[in-house]
Amino acid sequence: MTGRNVLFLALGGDRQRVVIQDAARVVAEGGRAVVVIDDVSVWPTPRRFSSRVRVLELAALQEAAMPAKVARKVLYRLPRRLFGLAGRLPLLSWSARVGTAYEKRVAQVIDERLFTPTYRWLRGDNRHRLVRRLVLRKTAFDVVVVCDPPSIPLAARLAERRSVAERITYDLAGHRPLDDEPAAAPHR
Amino acid sequence: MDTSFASDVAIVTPWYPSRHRPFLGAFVEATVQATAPRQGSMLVYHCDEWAGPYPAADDAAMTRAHHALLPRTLRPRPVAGGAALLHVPVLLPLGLSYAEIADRHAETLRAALSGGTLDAPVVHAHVGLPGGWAALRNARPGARVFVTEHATFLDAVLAQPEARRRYDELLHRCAGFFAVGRAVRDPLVEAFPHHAERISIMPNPVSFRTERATPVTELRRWLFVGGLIPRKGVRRLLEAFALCHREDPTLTLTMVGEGALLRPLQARSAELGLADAVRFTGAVAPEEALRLMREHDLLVHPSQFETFGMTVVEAVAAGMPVLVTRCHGPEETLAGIEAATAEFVAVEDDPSSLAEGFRRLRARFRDGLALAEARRSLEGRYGYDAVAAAHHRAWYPEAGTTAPVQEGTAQPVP
Repeated sequence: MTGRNVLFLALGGDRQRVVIQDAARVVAEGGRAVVVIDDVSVWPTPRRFSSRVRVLELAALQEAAMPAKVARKVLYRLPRRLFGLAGRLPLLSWSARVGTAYEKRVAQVIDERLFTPTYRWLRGDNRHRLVRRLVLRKTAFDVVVVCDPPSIPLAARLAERRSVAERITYDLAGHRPLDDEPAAAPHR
Repeated sequence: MDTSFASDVAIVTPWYPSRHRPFLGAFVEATVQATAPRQGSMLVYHCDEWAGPYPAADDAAMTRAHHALLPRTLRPRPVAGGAALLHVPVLLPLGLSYAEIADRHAETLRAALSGGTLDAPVVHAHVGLPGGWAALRNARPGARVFVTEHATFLDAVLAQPEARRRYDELLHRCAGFFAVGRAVRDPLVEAFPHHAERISIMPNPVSFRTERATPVTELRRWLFVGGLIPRKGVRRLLEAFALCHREDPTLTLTMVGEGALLRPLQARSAELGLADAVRFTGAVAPEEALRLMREHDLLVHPSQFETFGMTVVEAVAAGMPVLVTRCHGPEETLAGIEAATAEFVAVEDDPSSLAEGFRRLRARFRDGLALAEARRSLEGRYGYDAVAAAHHRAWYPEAGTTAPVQEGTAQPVP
């Protein structure tokens, strides 16, 4: 698997030892390894990933999605700028305290109770779009490895694109570059 | 992707060594390695169980997606003996009955075959439920299905009525059914007396091809190979080793394997002051375990139950004596050569009886064991040639005995 770019889908975190070892091997052989995980807390030893392996937490990807960016701008950045401007005016030195209170009692409440649930409800399961946009578009992967059951629905959605479908495997050891012969023919 | 994988023999197995579980199904790998060279082609379907505590709704979505995805992911890769292997994950939410697990295997294999059948005239499955059931449900019309049962949990399977019904059907419909030893055959015959004549014995093959560089000269380096789980008697082993180490501080113990008791054993080892004498390697690949056998002096196998006890035979193949419990399989595999290579102790929790067994074996070793003779004897019973020939005779009875058969070799006998 010399120099291959490999995307590991490891949302369940079920086979951590093997994922960590395989990713390390990919980068050691001159390739690029990206591991998509769901929740970093189920990986008790995230630092054991080789420093050259890129680990992406889906939650972080969702944060990077456009609606979340817009919400952050509307709820936090614009008001912060307004309070900042107000703070420069005479008699409005209390604006910093008001700004902090606004973020805590208004912006955060709207974000957590209204925006995030509504966004989740409207978007449905958009993880495949995020991975496509934020991972697959930036790197051409030779192999996409499905590492555990929770990653399968995501892999199936990604496989709707033919270019990804023919690169998906459950078994990195059995996968060879697409222009090669099959790893082994059943006839010897 | 083309999912038509024609072969002379298809192997269907839930167990096969993998990166995730390098130990699991080493005996299936050995059987493939032994039998594949005699076949034109052999394709192994490794129905690898991916179990997890997934909610029912998630399970349904995952299974749907998995079945759609699976045929496109299958790429055969070379494995032992020139065979090829297809990796077929089988999703198992926790809490399924044995019958449901068997059905899952059958359905997943069918999905992998895109609704087709196993394209082979001979199908050999390992483990009755789920492997045999999955093979039976997916074999092509006219194919002969054989099954080898190794499971140590057979009593739990047969205790479930629906699983028992499937097992009965499996025994009725398969072309040949093999148990790896009496410990497996006897409960099956008791449960299905009407199939008694169909249940033969076919041992696991063991490689005798590599000899150790230098013979064992003293019993100093202990070795354990297996799961670090209660059934393997590993707590008793550690305590017994501590007793013997007090008498001879040059003794060492290497524990090869992983399991739920790894950390408790490591902690206990430190507590006993044995941190320098006891080494835990974790799980290693089967070939590495065999290499370690050739670098140690004694295999200690204090298991509570074994259907075959492959590591015991492998240890004799590696030229080392064994200290082993009477846990069913080893009494059968070492029958007739006990004095030459083994010391048996009772299955119990008491470490002192295991330590006493070591002292007896050490005394006998000084007087001289017949390790080479024991090795030759077991090679005739369990060597690759012997077991491969027995498989060949079972798969192709019409071909007669085409392979050289040695006196006393493995045979599928009722």
